[in-house]
Amino acid sequence: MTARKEEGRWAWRLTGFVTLCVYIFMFAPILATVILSFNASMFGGFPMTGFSLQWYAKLMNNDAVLSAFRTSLWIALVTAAITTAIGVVTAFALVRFEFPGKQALSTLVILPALVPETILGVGLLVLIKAADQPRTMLLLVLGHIMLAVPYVVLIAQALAGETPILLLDEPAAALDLHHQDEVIALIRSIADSRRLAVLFTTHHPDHAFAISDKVLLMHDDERHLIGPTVEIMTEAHLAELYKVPVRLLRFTAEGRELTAFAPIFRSQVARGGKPIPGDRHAE
Amino acid sequence: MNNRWTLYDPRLAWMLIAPVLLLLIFFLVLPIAVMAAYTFFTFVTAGVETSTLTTANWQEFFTDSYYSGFLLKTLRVGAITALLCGVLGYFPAYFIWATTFKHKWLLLLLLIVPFWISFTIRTFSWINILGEQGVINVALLKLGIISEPLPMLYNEGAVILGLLHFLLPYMILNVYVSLEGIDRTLISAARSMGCTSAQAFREVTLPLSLPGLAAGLLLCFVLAAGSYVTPQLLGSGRDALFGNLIYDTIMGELNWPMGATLSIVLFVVLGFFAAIYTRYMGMSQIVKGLGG
Repeated sequence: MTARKEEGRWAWRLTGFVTLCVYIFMFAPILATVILSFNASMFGGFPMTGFSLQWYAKLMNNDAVLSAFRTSLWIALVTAAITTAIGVVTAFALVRFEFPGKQALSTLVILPALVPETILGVGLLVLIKAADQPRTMLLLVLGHIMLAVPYVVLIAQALAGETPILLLDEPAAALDLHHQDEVIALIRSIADSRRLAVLFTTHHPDHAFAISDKVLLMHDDERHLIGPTVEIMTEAHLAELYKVPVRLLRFTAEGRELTAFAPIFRSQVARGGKPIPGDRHAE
Repeated sequence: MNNRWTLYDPRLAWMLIAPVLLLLIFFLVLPIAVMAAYTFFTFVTAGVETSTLTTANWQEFFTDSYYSGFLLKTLRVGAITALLCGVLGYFPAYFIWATTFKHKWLLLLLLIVPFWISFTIRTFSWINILGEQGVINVALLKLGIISEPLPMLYNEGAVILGLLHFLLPYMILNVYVSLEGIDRTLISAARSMGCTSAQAFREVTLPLSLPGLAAGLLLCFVLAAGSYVTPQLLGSGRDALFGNLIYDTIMGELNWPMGATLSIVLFVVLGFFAAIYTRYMGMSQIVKGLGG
């Protein structure tokens, strides 16, 4: 047993050692370049002849370098802004929509990251030559945007990715009947078409009858009931929950057997169950 | 005919995608299509070609062993680089995934940092390590181990080293993402049933991380075989890869039709490997690996 543990420890140490070496490998050249930038000597290389900031001073006075730097900065800023905008919108469409050609488009969008830059570069040069276009700043920026699109789309896609569960807190509260109907229809259609688990709270038992598969009834104390809608949503359970007697009315409408929830309010009972004043049909 | 817009209407999707789609059509699909057409143009003299259709470029490519030799060498360098990346990249990916180190986000961040530094600068920086006045030669000379600087730059080894340096983060991220997707209870289950940690790794962790490793291998292979800057900066003339051949054909000889032909060859050959990969593994792993 100890021998085995020992073996695992050595494997882990080896992994750690290789990891360290890889990190050194990745950063040593960059570090050496940074150190050499402070070298006093004109010839880049070790050993250093002294510490100096003269190259940075020279850089600040070199108009060609500064102007190139400004160009790079502008291209980078414009590219980042535009790519983020159009990339996020594309990722949103790819994640949330279903449409023909979606698969092909997903592949096309990541191609700029997979096709070697040599080929992309030659292709663009040939196109510019064939179309007899001058090499303008606009073309340069558009080319950069094309190269950056895959990274924005992929990251945005991961962030906008499908959640398995949708939580809604009283989504149909304070809506009139027409809009209640729209909201609960939307919830059901999202649950079905995207295969999402939707969890919503409501004060309307009728909404549960309309769209729920399962129901959780929560009482004031910590008691609760959970199960299939038809088993849980009984008159006894609902009366206990709402502390009001209720009836479940079963009726046929549009050829379907439907269920509605009706509370028995004390005020109406106290008035002797008489027809509502003004209801001419009942008189 | 129902013109009412619905939620998640496909028409809305196309509108959202339109900017990126147009950009890709004009800057990716169209250039490659024009390039394909160019392969049949006639080369007259440097910088001049006519649109008279000919198969001369393709005949030259298929009959001259100079080109196929270059292609094979490029694929060999790409394969060596990808394999080395796979071997060297697996350890850090596994380490980052398995470590209980509190600041493992730092290790992940360090992987992304190289992407922020210009690729050309990262390649150039190797001259400070391997050059005659680089860290290694100067240290060895000072210690008296060597009397002459070792010629470490401008050979195939330096090119592969530069490619490794550029591609390792891609490989590590691909494998890491794949490891991160493994249900860790599977490993606990294997251990509780008597596997040693080595057996659990061999039977559970390694097979489940293979998709990430495969995606990393493909990516490193394609990017290495398509590279142009690294051989240009770190290699000698003899270490030129197919990308440099294309560059020389277009910029040196100004033979655009032949340059287009070579570009299409590289595109088709690398696309062939990518197609084989997606045939068996699908695109999703590459998508995950690139997106982090």
